[in-house]
Amino acid sequence: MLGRHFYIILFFLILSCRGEEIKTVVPKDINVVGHEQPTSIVAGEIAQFSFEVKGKGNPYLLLHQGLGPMILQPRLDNNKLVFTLEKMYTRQAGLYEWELINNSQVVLSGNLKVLPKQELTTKIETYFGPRSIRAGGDDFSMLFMVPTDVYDNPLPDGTSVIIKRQMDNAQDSIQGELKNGYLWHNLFSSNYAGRMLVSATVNQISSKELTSMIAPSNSVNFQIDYKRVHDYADGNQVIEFITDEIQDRFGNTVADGTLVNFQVTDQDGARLLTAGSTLAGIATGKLLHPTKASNWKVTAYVTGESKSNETQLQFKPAVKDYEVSFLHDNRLIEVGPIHGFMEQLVPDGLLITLKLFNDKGELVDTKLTNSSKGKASFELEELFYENGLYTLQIETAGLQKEFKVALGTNELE
Amino acid sequence: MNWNRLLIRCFLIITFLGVNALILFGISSVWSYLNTGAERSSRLHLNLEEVRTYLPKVEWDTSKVEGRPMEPLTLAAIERDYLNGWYVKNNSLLTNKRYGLSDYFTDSARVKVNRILDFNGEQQASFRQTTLNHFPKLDFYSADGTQVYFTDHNVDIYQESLVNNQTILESKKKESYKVIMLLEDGFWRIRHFTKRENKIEPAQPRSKLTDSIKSLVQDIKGLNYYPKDTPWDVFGKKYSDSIISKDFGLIKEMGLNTIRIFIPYEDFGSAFVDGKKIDKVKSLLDKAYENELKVVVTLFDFYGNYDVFDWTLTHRHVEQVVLALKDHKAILAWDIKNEPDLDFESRGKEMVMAWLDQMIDEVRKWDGKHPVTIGWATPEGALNLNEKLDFISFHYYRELKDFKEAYNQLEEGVTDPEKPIVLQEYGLSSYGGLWNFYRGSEEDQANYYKEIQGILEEKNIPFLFWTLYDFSQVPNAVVGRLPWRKKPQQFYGCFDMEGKPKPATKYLMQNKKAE
Repeated sequence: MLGRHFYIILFFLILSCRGEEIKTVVPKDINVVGHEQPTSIVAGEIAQFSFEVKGKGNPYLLLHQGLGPMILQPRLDNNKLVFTLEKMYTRQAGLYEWELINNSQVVLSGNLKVLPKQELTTKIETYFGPRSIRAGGDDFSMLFMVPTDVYDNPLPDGTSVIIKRQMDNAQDSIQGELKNGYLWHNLFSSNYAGRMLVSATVNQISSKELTSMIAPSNSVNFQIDYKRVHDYADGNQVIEFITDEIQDRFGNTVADGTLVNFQVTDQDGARLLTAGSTLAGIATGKLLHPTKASNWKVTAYVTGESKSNETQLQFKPAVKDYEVSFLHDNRLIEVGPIHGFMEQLVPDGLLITLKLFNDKGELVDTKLTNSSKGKASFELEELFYENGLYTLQIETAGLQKEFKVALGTNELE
Repeated sequence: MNWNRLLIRCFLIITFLGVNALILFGISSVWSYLNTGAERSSRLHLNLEEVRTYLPKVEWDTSKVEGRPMEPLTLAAIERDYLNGWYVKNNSLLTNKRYGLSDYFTDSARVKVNRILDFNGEQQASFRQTTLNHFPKLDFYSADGTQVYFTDHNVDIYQESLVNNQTILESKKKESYKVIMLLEDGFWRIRHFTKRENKIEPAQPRSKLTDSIKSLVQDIKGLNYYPKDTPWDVFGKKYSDSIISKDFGLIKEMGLNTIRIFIPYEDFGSAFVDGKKIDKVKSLLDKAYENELKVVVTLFDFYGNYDVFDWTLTHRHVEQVVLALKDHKAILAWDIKNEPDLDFESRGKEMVMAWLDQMIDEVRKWDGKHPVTIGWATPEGALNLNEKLDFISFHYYRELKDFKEAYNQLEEGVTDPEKPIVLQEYGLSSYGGLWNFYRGSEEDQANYYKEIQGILEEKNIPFLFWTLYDFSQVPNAVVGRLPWRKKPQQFYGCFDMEGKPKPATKYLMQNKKAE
């Protein structure tokens, strides 16, 4: 109900306002008496369409091809309409449909097949991927290729292609045929890590060289060992865990950089982790010695692939005993000198813990310090700790000592 | 002397002010120019929302893919880029410019497209084209996921060929292509695109209208329906099925058997149809079914573009609407477009006709059962496409005395005399007021209906009058904002704004007459 009276009136108003009638061209029809045109040419050849027509009109030749249509204008030659498709415009192979148009009508239509110029194969477009595969014969790189003629047209189906491959110090070749203008082939890995080199040949034209890396397959279980300077728990030296050469099931050394996680479990069930990446198949992981006597179990993992044997090792205590002295109304506590396994002063940085309990047995404070030149001291200031009876627990290198002390007096129980 | 001084003084002051104003204006334009430009956030392209503007129907066949199985997400990406490729190419063929081609064609393929564009540019040739359907069969997908080969079968192309912007041929064709696409920096680009012979599948002959449907159409006695308070916005926020139910009860009581409703194109979400609106249509159809009313659904209300580049969007709209509603028992017929002949002037007759012609096929593709018609604005216009439509519909708002002659001419002009001809809109406004110089009254309206209902009965013409109620308001989009147009538009009802019957009602009651 959009328009109604007013629209209709408006419509007539507009009509009546127009000064001039639209000129209608009297339709002119043409009859095709004879015609001549190619049905099949090779890309890059000239194509001429000629029509012998009666009657006068304004004809065009409409041409449909792959990437878009074109309109040709005629030339009059001996009373014939001639449409010329220059060489440049027949470069695209495929089906061309032509239609002779006059007066908004298709007068005549037909097909022209343009074939690729096979003898001038110039380029083989190759796509190779994935470029990194794994050994073992299950994984592959796919070669996809579209050989084209000089005008970038895919070659016809059935054109034979030779794929050449160099792998494991040997060469082989595979024969194939184009289908729909392309060929694809899966090239599988062998049991050996290395490189696969591939090229293809069509009509004596070769492609470039394509490479795929064949990486080793999944690693198999391996062995670990360790190295250390001594077996004392001095908290100072570094122990090194070393794998043997990690390999896949075909004996290929795993790729450099494969991550190996070393997992240590001590006698208390605490876990320590370290990691190393392989170089020539060997990975090393490092850890600091513990500070007290320990019993370690070590296993290494390549996550998701393999693990090592479990190896066990012990650390002996490095410190046998140490002295503790109380000064300044028992408010200054000196620990040490602490001697190591060969009576040397222990290396700086040994952790010393002091736990302070009041006379009700409640923990008042925990103080930490590190040894320096074999010694360490704690100061219990009066402002923080009231005079009274305390129990002090001092621990270092796994050795614990307990004292009952009255702060503020000189007494020591 | 004094005067001269005064004049010079005035001149100097005005010039001074003018120069200052100019300087200020200059500085402010430079300032505002320097402050325009992209938002900083747009640097990252985070807020780009893709708008799909090209939506032909694509049906992939991935049943036999060599190389590697296809993932749905990749297929969607390929389809998007392939269609975008078509879209930019269609644009280029119209303008012979190269805008956007580099995103969807590889360098080597682009050389070939450019050659064609350059040639057509020299010849002043251009093409306005769109594809409607694609049936690509995927044959190959490479292991590394960067190459595909497919054959695109039976691509429906609508094409207008132009020389010097004059259409020399309008054609529809089916074509087939062999396509190799490569994934390059995130875009699937066309590398090879070769036309091949198309295997033409025989078109299925269209089944004729069954006698039962034909008799339903021949029996149409009804009206164009809008609710009293929400005319031209039935399915909006104020939709209420109790009002609809009440109105339909009234229509049934009047002895009418059919209503005509309208689906606005943009309001329903254009190419992406709003499911909530469809639910409201379904609810309306339910109420119609309960009241034994059949419904003629008019599509594309308030649509007026028809441009070839808009075709695929309207096709997706119609697909969703028709598929959602076609199984409803209340549906009688599809009316493709209301009064498209009024757009002949502004849009060009060829363009509108081509759109309609294709749209008939589209509707039939999704629903072969229900008849298709077009609501032409005049009896003369109704001859357009009459051979293709299942029945003819025309509107008549002219003088009653000319009706018989116009109808007879239409009847003679229709190629198939068996086809029902429906008077799909007619009526008279009972408005008599300032804007039409107090001409028109409810009596005039009653007389009008008395006369025309007599003719309709005599000639056995199915009818749908305009309309049930007077409307309290008419949106500007309908007839514009001029009061002498809007005002009469409100008073076409056979019931007034309070819902009381006007005198005309007694001539429109069908059952009473029978008694």
